[in-house]
Amino acid sequence: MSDQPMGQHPKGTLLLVGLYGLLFAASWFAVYVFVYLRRGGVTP
Amino acid sequence: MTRADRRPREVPTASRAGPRFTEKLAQAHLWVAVLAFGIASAMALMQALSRASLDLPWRTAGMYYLSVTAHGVLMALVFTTFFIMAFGYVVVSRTLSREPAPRVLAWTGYWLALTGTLATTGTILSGKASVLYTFYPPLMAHPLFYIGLALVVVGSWCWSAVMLLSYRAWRRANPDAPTPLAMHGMIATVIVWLIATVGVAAEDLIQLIPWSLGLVPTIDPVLARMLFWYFGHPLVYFWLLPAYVIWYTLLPRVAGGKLFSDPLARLVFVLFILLSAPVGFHHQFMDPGVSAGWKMVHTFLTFAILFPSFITAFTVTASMEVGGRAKGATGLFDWIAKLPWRDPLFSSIALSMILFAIGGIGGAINASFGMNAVVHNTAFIQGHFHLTVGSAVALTFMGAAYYLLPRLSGRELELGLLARVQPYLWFVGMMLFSISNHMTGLMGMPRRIYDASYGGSAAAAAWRGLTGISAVGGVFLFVSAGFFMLVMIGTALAGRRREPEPILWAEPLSPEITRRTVFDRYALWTAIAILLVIVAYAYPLWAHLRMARFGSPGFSPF
Repeated sequence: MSDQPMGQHPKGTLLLVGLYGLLFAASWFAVYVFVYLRRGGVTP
Repeated sequence: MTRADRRPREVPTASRAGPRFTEKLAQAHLWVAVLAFGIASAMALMQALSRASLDLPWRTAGMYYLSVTAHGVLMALVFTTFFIMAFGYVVVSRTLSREPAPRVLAWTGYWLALTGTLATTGTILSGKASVLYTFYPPLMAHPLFYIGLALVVVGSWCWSAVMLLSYRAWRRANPDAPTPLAMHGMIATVIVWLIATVGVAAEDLIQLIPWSLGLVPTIDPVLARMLFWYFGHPLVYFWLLPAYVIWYTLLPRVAGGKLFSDPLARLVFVLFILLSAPVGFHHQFMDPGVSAGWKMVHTFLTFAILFPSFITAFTVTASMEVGGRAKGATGLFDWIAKLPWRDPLFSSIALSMILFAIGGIGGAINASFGMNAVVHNTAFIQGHFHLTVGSAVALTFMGAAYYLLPRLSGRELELGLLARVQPYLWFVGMMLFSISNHMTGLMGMPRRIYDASYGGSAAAAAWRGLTGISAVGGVFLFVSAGFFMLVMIGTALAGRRREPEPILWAEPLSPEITRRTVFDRYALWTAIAILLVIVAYAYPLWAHLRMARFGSPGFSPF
């Protein structure tokens, strides 16, 4: 097993991590907008 | 000293004369973990069915809270702690090439923790300690429950001492060598544990035990919760760090690749030493007695500790990609198909990472100061922590048990088909269970209620179908847990004897660290971590203690 194919840039991982980052942010904002704000924030 | 000399060497794992010390010690711990897991799993099935309003025989509120307590204590405190202790001893033996020492202290720790486990479990199963795994006062348990927990903690301190003393002995013989990565992660685990358990030890010894024995008439619940959550969140990292050690040091090799970055992995463990403890107030956003400003400080620190987990997600996934590409993959995602999905260690970890990624999203919602109000004490919380401790940790430990038991016992893994299927059943079950609980939590369904129908109210009818899905998930999880138990017991009783395979640690892709670095300065990291704890907790604790405080007598509703 040579190191050459192993040493490539992990482009698949970067894309997966990027997609996860988008999902992470979108999910957080979805709960913030559609659940938290819709019910009314707990602070005045 | 040459580079080859500095690398941790493999040591023989067993001999015909009988198991070596480490094998015996680690298996003793492992079997307590496995048996605790088995009992806790049976309790979990009953809870999932009960919340779906299925009228099971003997179903009562008292039985429900007994089972929730047994499930939480045995799964979250006993299964995890004993597995971690077993794994720690294996790491010492296999990376430092020496037996854990002193032996007497190691066995003393085992027997203390086992005695404590039996005392605590006995009080729970006899119905005298239905106080849930968080044991919030003024719910009061039998004194033996608290004394048993104290013994478990003291036993774990003995383990911690053995880990550190073994490391110190190795360090004296290898002053310039980098700490082997797996040992580096386990030392971080020990440091996090020692800092965290100060809180629960103080709560147990100063508040709970004297109160339960009747030596003092009342208890301060706010102080107790502050001390508990000082311990309770770093407890999560005590569970998680050994799982990360397994992800970083075993998975890349099993995947056919190499660890993408050794320095990044070392940095992650150091960040956890620093940031694990000063975050506990995010469990107390809804509590009185802690000012909003300090809760905000803990909010920021909680978001900071997401960072090392994000690094881990990248590094471990990249290590898997390295493995897939080594097998000929060239496209963007075809390396995923080339990974060893039939290997139970690999599939356990890979599936646990997917579940953990989903859990991370919920964690950010829990940690948000304002948004926490919409999920606090709802089913969302149990949905969340079953993706973290119930998946990232428990599923990884099950996969690691398949890997370790044959290597410790000298017996081949039995019922291999069940071992291959089991992680997938867990994944399906946990998706059904956790997603439905996240949804019902957002709809307002409380956690820790034994009948989610609320006597047929309209609001409760809205989540009825989802509690059914949760129950189906519980059945999948129970079957999966049963498969795990069958494989473990089958291997111990009927596995064919053979020369054990060595434990093969992952090699780093590049750069390889060959000398001791700043990452190995554990005293420095511990000192900074303690300083952060003082910054985050000293003033709120002082402010609380100088207020006029009101104690509560104990209550035992069941």
